[in-house]
Amino acid sequence: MGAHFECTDRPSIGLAWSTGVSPQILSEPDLIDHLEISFEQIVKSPKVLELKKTRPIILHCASLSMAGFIDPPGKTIENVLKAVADTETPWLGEHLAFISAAPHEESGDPVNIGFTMSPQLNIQTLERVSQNIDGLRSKLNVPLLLENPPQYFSMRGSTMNMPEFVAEMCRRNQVDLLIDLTHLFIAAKNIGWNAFEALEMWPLERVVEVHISGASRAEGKWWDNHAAAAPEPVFDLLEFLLKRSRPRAITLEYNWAPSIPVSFMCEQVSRIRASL
Amino acid sequence: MNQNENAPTAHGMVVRILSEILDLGKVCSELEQAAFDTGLDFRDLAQLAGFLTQVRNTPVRQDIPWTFAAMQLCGVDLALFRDYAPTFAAGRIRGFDTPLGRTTTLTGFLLDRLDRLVPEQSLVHDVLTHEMTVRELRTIGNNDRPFPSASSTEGAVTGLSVPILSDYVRLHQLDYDPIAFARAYLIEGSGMLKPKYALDGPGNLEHLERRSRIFLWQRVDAQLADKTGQMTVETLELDPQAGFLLNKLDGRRTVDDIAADISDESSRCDVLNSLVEFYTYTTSQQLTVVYPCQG
Repeated sequence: MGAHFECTDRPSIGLAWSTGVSPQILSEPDLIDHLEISFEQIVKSPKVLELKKTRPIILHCASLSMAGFIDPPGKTIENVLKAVADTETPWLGEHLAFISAAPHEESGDPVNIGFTMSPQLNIQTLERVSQNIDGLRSKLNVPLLLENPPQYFSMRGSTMNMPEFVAEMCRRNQVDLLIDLTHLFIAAKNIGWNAFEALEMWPLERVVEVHISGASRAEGKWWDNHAAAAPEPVFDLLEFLLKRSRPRAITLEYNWAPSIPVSFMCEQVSRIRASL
Repeated sequence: MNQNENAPTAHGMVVRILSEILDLGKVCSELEQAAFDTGLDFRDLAQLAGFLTQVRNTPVRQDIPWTFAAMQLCGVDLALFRDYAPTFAAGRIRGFDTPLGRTTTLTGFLLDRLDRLVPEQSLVHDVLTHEMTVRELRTIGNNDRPFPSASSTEGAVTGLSVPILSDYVRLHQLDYDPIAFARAYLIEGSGMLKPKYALDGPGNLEHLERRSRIFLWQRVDAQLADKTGQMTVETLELDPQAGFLLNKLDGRRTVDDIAADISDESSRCDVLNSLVEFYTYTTSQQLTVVYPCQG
């Protein structure tokens, strides 16, 4: 038996699990309500499931290539479904991105880069996303949330920007949203649109979970950085979002940091609570 | 559907190019042409390969967290990891022997690649030197003493005595102060950049500069190991003359040899000041020097 995710008026505040999460953070009363564990962590080390004894688990995934044109291996889907059952997660969060593609040579296997990437943003991709959502949802017994990816460049062949793409994806599919505010900030800065206006284009009543992490700048672009503190504009986006939406969970993702100071976590959680 | 929409082809090319750079260590004009033919900008993909190489090295952050933060602060992380991608790919193909193998491969690359004449790269170099030195001193075994123990020091000191350091120490000449870097930019020395700097970058690094200063790292006694069981390493800042003197203590030079060296250097250094500083360190138990009698 483990801790269960409970529905309350107040969003659950959690932290992505990593070795940088110290026992002190976990023993701190009233600090962390839930832990995010990735499917890939479970594959690598099934022992992480023991964390279920300490906090409710939200399962996150980066293996299903929801905006890709290559189906994930059947075994992967089978293992994801098992992880859903093992963690008792209230929903499954996955990226609106692709990680694999057809082989370069006809005889080869599909190539998996192991990292989610923003797709070409157009109707062709949206149609494929809808197929992938339908295919997965027929097997999944918890809600599926799709997460906006960070965008580092605009891929030629795109006929819409990310705000339009997500809005159209929501119009075509009854799917809930996981909004990563740092990804939103990064994409808006790199491509040149307004992140607040993007939020206004999306059906915010469907936002179930929010992610917050760091970002850093190099070579004229913004980059996802789970080892840096979230920049101020990300908290501005959070305040804006919380005035229009009531997500069930807010998850801090600092899982690249070698260690996360307890005082820093206290400050971050206080900050979020003050925005509620 | 718009006739320019070629998502399966474009996705395939993105994955192929990244895979060839990241998994096979290839960077060649053929890939550039293939990207161009698919309507992709190879520079975007090369940047992304640098970013992904950095992400794949996340476990190394445990060993050199401040160095990662310094690279990020200075905005040089992407370029360094982009250049490191072929080396890292080769290491993965060969199979890193141990988790430490990843760290030593990266640190070796960085020390070779960083240009100390460029301020930002010099800061990263000095922070890396600090972290590697601390790590080395913390992991030295108690039986690896480079010199005889202090118990062999009885007897009168003569010009033929060989002064030695009884502690584990290392000396490096740095341009920037790694401790000051951590205090200024990191959250409780954790390796996480303070929010302001994650957003703004470093600005001016002059406040961290320690031109012509020498740093000394000293492992303190095993009984003083910290609560995690790791050896504590203290860092001192020396003036160049004290550094010069300490560098002479190599376990071979006699008191007479060192006196002669000081004499040779006297036109270039303040010997009196050096001796005072040297005396201060050796008597304040920050550093113990013993003089085994040569019979």
